[in-house]
Amino acid sequence: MASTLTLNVNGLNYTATVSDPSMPLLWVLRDVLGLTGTKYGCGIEVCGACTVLINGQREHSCVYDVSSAVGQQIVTIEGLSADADGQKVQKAWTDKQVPQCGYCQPGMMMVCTGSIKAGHHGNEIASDMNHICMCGTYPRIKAAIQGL
Amino acid sequence: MTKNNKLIPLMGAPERNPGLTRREMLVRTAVGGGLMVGFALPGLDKLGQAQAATATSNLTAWITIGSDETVTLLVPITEMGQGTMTGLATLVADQLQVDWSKIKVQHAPVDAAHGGANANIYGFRFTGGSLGIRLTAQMLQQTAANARQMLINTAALKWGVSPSACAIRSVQDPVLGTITQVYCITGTTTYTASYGSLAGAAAAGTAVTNAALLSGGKYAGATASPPRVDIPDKITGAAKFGIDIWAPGMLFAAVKHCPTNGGTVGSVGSTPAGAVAVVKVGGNGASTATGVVAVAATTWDAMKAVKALAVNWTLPIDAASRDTAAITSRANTLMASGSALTAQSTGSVAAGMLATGAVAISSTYQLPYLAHAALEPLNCTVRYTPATASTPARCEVWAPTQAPDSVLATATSMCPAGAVVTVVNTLVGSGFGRKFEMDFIVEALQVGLACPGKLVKLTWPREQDFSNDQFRPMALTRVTAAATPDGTITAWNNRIVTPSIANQRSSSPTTPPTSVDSEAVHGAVSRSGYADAGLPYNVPNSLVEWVWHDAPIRVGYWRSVGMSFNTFAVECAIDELAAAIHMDPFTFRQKNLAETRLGPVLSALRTLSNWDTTPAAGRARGVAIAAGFGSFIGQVAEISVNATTGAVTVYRVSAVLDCGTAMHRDAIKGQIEGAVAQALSPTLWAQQTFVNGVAQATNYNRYRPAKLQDMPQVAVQIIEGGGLGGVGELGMPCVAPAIANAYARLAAQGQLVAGLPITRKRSLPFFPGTTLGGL
Repeated sequence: MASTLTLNVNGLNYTATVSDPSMPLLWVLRDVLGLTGTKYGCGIEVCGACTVLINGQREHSCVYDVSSAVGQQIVTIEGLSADADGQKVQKAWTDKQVPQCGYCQPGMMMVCTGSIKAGHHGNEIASDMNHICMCGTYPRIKAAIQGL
Repeated sequence: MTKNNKLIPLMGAPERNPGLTRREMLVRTAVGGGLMVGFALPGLDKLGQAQAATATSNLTAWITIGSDETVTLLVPITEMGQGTMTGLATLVADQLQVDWSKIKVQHAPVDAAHGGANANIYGFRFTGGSLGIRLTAQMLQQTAANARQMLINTAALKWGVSPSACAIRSVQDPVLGTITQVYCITGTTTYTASYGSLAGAAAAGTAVTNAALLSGGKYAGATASPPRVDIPDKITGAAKFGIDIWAPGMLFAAVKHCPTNGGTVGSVGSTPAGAVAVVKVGGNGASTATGVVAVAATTWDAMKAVKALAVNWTLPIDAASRDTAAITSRANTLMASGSALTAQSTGSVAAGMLATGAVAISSTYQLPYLAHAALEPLNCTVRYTPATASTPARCEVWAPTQAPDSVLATATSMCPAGAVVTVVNTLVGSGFGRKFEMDFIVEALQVGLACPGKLVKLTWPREQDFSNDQFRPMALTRVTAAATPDGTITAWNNRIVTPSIANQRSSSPTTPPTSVDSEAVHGAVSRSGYADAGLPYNVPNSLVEWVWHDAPIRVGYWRSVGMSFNTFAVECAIDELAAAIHMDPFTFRQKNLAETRLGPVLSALRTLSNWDTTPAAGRARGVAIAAGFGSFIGQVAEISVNATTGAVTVYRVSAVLDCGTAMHRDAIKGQIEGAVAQALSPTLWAQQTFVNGVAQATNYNRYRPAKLQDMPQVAVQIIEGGGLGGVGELGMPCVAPAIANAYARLAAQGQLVAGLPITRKRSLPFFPGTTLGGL
């Protein structure tokens, strides 16, 4: 049954009406709020394209019930430029010219940012980045995270 | 250090081939899709399009200059990661001598001015065949030179001087940074005006069509490539792919097709809760619909509803033949006794087999169907606005497509007569050939037409994308060949059993086909007849045959198309021949090269890959080469095999390529790195299989892509051998055979690779080096 929720995304409060409180956060972000930077890739937590930060932790929004996100601090790719760690990641991605098609990169950058927030560096970040990039930008991602 | 960029060679326009090439097939298909007519774009929404600079002036159809001094290039090639936007922009920046910071690039509007014969020499705007730069570089370079001359002429007219008294230069503006201005000198007076201040008058002035090209620019071919123009939006979430089209109040839709490949919709149950509509889609009308779509308030609601929707499917009568075991069995029968079409015949294979001292090999390789698995699932957004008493109907389409002219033709044919049709070519979240197809576009149009007045986005759930792909065709291919101990190939017989993409695409297919599908033998025949790609070797006694496989599974173009299986068979067989006569695989290849530009490639690759050093214990290296897409490449893979699990680890792939003029070295390098990553998956793990018509790989958990942890080091060296070649597909064909050849060199395995993914092994009756009395 429909419910109206308040979500804090990138520091702003949004009101969202959803058909079902178990709707994954991904679809609320994309279809209800129009925050389309977070991507749908597999829907089963394999590809990582839907990754967002919830209270600084990496989460797959494709399986994260929106009701569980109420009252939490959600950060998406659209909020990365306002985050100090996110800015570092953006600079590294630019310096190494990482993206090709760019579809997986929001998820890649969110998991990288979350990994930094978890205190990880270099190879520790690399082991956190278990995501799919069909363009194969992995060599550049590896290079980009070396300095982080 | 920069390179002279003045010559974008005419040979960039590929030669016409005697066979039906993929490009020609693309064109025929598009034309067959309906009459293509250009439409004006009244009030086209900016939805999904980048914002234009304020006060812009269209100097040519492809270049606009803003009052803020930005130059916007409109490209007729779809950006799906390959970097064509950036590569083309280097030419424009050099001809206009504009600082890189002022360059913007967008997809051109999908209309007559930017499509058809205005888009390329094939008269059909598409992205494929590694042709992006080759088809458009010369045109866009010239149009930029023309724009420059128009700005100069405008300034000259303004101050009443001859254009020859005027030139251009970069200056620093305190607000705008580096800008370009025209300056004219008369007597002791120098007049100056920036591009932005001249653009309006220049756009209204006399067009220039054949301005001289400038040489020696800063960007095209530069050793240090300028940054990609598409990256800033791709690191902030601002980049809009097709799937990102959004507006308040829009509707969302999800599809499901018959789980059995080739099935159609029988009866459909009542509309499930949460759906606002159910629409039958695909086929030629509701009676032969191939799928059902639920329309709802969100994609999630639509996915749930379509899953819940009861459908009685009508299974295809040939369901049993849509089965991997049946298809394989049929392929073996066809290999043994199917009737073949001859793609190439030279000399006498029988005589070559009997050459004095000749050693023969015969190997059969089996390759599976592959999915495209593009990370952005298939999707398309449509808004159909019915006609009123005073306004015609409108059909608006937003499509992540490699074939925008086909989308326009498809929409025109499906929307009511007289409707104003507009198509927006969005960014594409990887395509690999899949987004050339129209099936998802047709479905979205059917849904949009069923929801008048509403913006509706159709998304294929990932499972639908995998199960209902138009797959890379399976292939069973056998090479029987002989070489003499001095390293001369004396006989070459390649028999290729594979379905025909061309035949399936044809509106009037011939069964069996009566002419060779050039993609079925792409890379397997000498280049005399196929200008774009070729068997790299001299084979004076040769027979290359194609046996059409009649499997009904839909097939399509997949990055590198026929070379993805033909180069595998050729390069594995070449290594086996070299081993049979105990010759170094590099030396053997060099000795038999027909493609002379592969000579320097092989020499450089030998050094880059450390071929002449001994690999670390347990490791081996393998090599493969190819001539394709107007370019040349060689790759060496260094691998090990886990003795217990059989798992292959790839440590390093070295690649040397000659693509002629290298427009943007960093993007080229990226394409090779990416192709290595993409090729690892079908080489080592992934395939699509069918059981009684049901696709078995339905998501990435059953179709393993390479991940960061799997990625080898990739070293890329670029040789510029002249002309202009393609790059997008070039890195793909050699990866699998290089890995397989390394695998075969690991003595502990003692077995060759008989197919992909590489788990299969075989023992060969003729290996190693059995001398045959004749065949």
